[in-house]
Amino acid sequence: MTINLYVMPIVGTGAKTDMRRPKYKDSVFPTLSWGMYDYGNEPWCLVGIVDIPVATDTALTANPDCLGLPTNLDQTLTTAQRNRVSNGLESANIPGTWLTTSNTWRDAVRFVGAICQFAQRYQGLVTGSLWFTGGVTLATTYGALPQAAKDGLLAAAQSFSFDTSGLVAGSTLRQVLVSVGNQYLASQPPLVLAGVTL
Amino acid sequence: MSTLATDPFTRGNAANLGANWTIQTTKIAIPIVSNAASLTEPVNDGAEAYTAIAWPNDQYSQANLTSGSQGSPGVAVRLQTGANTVYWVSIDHEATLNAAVLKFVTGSATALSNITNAYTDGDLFRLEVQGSTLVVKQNGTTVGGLGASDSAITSGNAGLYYNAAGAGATTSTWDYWEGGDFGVAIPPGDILLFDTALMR
Repeated sequence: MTINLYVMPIVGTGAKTDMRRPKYKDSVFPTLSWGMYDYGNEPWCLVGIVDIPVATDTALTANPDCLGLPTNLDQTLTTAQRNRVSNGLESANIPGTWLTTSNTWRDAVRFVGAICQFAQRYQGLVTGSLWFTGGVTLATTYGALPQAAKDGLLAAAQSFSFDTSGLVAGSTLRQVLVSVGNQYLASQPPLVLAGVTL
Repeated sequence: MSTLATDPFTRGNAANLGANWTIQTTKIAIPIVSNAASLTEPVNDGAEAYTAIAWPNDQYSQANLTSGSQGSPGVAVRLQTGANTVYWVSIDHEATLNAAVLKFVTGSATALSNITNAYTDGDLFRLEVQGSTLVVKQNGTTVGGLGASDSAITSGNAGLYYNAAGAGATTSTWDYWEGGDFGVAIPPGDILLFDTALMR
């Protein structure tokens, strides 16, 4: 069994008949087995598709909003790959500027997985609330966020017993998310997607 | 791993699962019919949580599942009674993508994994959650493709869940339900022996 990984938009209202799911599930891979981490309430996800045919992979990655990863995650990124991944993640409001050419694809995907887990905890605590709305970007400071978002970020970090000293007014949301993502990874929890440990 | 609660559903027909169970808000009850939990329902989803005990956050829920032609029965963990919040595994007889792990967070549904999986009516399905890790076992064997990590829901009850899938629904059943945790159980009558030489 081979898993191919992608970062792509999520669609669906969350109604039972319109569940949140990968954007291209219905149109490009309607019958293939898959698993997904939603980026909390944000409209993006990390998807693992099982035994995807080459033509289907090509069709998926032809979409500019679909970032495909190689099956060998243990290669380091070239400069061109680093730029592509960083830009792809940032366009999904996932911090990507921390990546360097000394990082592997696995570093990148585990970070995305960690950020998704944190965003899911926020989702469970602050129902329906989005971070990136009303002009908020990764460059927005923690102090400029709505109070409910600040409270939710703090509660989510505390629920994981993270060090919250970085959640201060001058920290950007990018810095906050990199901090909690790295703290999540430092605790070494399993990250399982479609039955595969990332 | 310890069994914390069981219900074989061996009792007279009833409109719901009884006093040890609580119907999840916005969902319908799952009746007892012919000594099994049984639902024939085309429109409304069903869900009941076993609430006679306080559940640890790490828990499992299992039952023998039989799916009707329309509608998907499943077992649930961290099922909350006051909101449609739950993780559950769904199984049916669709030709493809017939097994899924799903989460509902205050009613918002997200599919976490969806695979094509061989299934015979009566198979024993177990959904386990430990920390953020969800594992599905079918007749004791892990169903690898359904494994997932998710951190949205941290607490709740073990129970049963049902997805209604439209007109023509035939009966889905659950039998021999069991829920438990992952503590180390010492069977009654067993003796713990300590080799003091190893402790010096």
